[in-house]
Amino acid sequence: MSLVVEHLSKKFGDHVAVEDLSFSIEKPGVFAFLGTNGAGKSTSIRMILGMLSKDSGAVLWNGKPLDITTEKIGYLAEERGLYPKYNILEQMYYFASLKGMKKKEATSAIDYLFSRLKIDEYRKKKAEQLSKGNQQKVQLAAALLCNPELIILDEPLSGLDPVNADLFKSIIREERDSGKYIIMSSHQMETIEEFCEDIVLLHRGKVVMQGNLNDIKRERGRENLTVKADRPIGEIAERCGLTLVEETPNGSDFKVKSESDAERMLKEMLESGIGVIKFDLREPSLHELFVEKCGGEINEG
Amino acid sequence: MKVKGWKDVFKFSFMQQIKTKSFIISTVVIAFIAAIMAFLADFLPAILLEDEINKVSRAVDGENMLTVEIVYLDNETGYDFNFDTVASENNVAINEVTAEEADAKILEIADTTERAVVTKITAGDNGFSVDSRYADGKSAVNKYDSEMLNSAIARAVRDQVLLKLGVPEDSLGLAKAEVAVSCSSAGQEPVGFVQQILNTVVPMVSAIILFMFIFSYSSMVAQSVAIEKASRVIEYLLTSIKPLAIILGKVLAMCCVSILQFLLIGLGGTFGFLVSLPFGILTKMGPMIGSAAQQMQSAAASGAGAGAVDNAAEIVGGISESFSHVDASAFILMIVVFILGFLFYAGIAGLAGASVSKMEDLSSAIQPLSLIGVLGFYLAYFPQVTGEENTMALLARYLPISSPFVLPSDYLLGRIDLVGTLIAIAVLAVADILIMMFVAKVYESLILHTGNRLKLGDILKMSK
Repeated sequence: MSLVVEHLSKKFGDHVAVEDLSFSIEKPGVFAFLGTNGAGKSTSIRMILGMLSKDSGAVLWNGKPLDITTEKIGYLAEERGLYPKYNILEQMYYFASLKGMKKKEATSAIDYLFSRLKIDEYRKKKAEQLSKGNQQKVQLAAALLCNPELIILDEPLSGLDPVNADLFKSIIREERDSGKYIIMSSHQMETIEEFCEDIVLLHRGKVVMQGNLNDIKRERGRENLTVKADRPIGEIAERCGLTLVEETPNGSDFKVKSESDAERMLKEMLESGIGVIKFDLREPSLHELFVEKCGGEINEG
Repeated sequence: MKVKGWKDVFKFSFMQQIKTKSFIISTVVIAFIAAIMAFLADFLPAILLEDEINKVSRAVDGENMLTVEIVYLDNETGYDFNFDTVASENNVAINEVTAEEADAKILEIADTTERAVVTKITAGDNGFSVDSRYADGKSAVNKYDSEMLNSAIARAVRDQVLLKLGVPEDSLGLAKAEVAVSCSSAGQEPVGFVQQILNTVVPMVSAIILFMFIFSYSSMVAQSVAIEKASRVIEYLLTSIKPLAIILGKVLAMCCVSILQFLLIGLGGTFGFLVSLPFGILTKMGPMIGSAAQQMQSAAASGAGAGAVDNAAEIVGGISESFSHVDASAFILMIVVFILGFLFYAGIAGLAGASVSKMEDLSSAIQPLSLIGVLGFYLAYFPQVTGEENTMALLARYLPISSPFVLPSDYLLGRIDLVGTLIAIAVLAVADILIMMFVAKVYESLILHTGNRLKLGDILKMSK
């Protein structure tokens, strides 16, 4: 199975919402779909799901145009939605029927998911009687109801407390491990790094970074250095050509031009008899990559 | 166009709507009112017109019309009249008395059980007058019987005056015949009074009821679409089915809910009518209608209860003439027109609902729907008030905004023939298809639009 998105574009009047978006997901796992606010993520997701007509491009699932009416797709939208006045269980059966599920099949799926998400007691309640977090759980249950092969999660963890965030993460992990294709959009970069191998970063409708996250990081090399020592190290750092980024209780963060500068720094510290508490040379984080690609223009803007 | 899944939307929307408190309460209350009204419509006339009905009934059965047994007659005209025929036809004894005796009798019968009437016949410049005083105290004589007897005596006086003036006895009927007058359009068949009333009232009531049902349930479609959009449920729905399936399922569900409510209210009315049946006017008048018509006419001809019988006959005739076109196909056509009319208005309502992102914008969004609905209603309503067959009446039947309100009653009353009705239905169906095609084209963009309410111009741009 594979999801291929080819040259997807969409304009609203004169505004280009998405321009020439292409990516593919060739194997099961979690794919990160990232971007600044208003970058075109939701528009892209809606086009992928066929909710919104595209100006150009194609979305292929297993080599055929994706048809939401025949394929099993789970979607957790960024803007959560349930009928506020209707009974939760009735809504779930309705959603199941729209996915073509029989009542028995739906009952079994609802029982499992409600138990797994710890929302059994809310079955007979109206949506408006539930907390935001519990409504989000019901929404996730609705997205996973039909045991979908392709799951799109738009900001799944936003607004959740740490306990429920961990619960959501464990469920996402289960789905990933059971061979599902998951597209996840989130502004929580740690979560993306925790789950995703491949990413697409959108900025103002255009792809500004794309590929395997480890490869992207490897290409950039280890350019971030954090040093914590028992004496000041400012002079040595300056001599070795390191640029101080930030001083924190955990040490001093530097940018290095090459790994050899960092090695020289370590050598000089040891030769000077400075006690090294922490010396961490590492690749850029996703957060840093994101800010680097999108932050400049935003700040300028 | 893919509409897979519309049945699920239909089922859910239908079930949720009929479970709402507003539906349950409004249906129960209106059905109860319909039951009360149907009961009263049949029962009240039976109470209020009991004496009249009894008289007509006795006339049909050939029984004595009056509860009067004796008439004390004071003839002060100076003419010698013979009232033997009046006495024999009404089975009463007529005793001629003087003016003094009559005055004494008036005092006497007021306090006795004697079934008596004191009648004075006088002559004046403008003709004769017959005045009776009846015993309504302890006896069973009532005003109606007294009036009936007065009429019989008056007819006898008139007949005998005519005979004295030289009119041959076999020409009396002709000499007394009333000259009926009427005034109607050269292009129309003249209609009776009752039929005229029915031809005005039935279309007006029908237009009001159809407008209320179609318009209120179309507004509910707009509300339902707006709720799905404002609550963002629509995003989830659109991962399973196409927008057209959502709007189609929703519109058909509301259409069926409105028909269900109409039937339940009708059931309430029927129940009230059935409860009233044993005591109602229809049961009491029933034997006099149809096969008894001839008896009624002969009773009328003999002068017994003439007014009441004539009225009953005219009502029966008017109703049967007005609804002579009613058969099973008429009801099927009515339902088809209702559904097509509903689709027309609900389609527009769906667009209005989809054009808003917040519930508070809904009332302003459905203003165009209200405008079209009110325009259509008045276009349908005014020709019924004037009763004229003019261009406006013709337009009302064929324009989709008004035809749903006017076609059913016009067809039932025979104002439009089957071919004309089918043409009007075809026009409405084409309008529905165009509306649905437009809805299909713009609904997808509308339903995901967030932000300010879209204006008509924005929606038209989307369709291009």
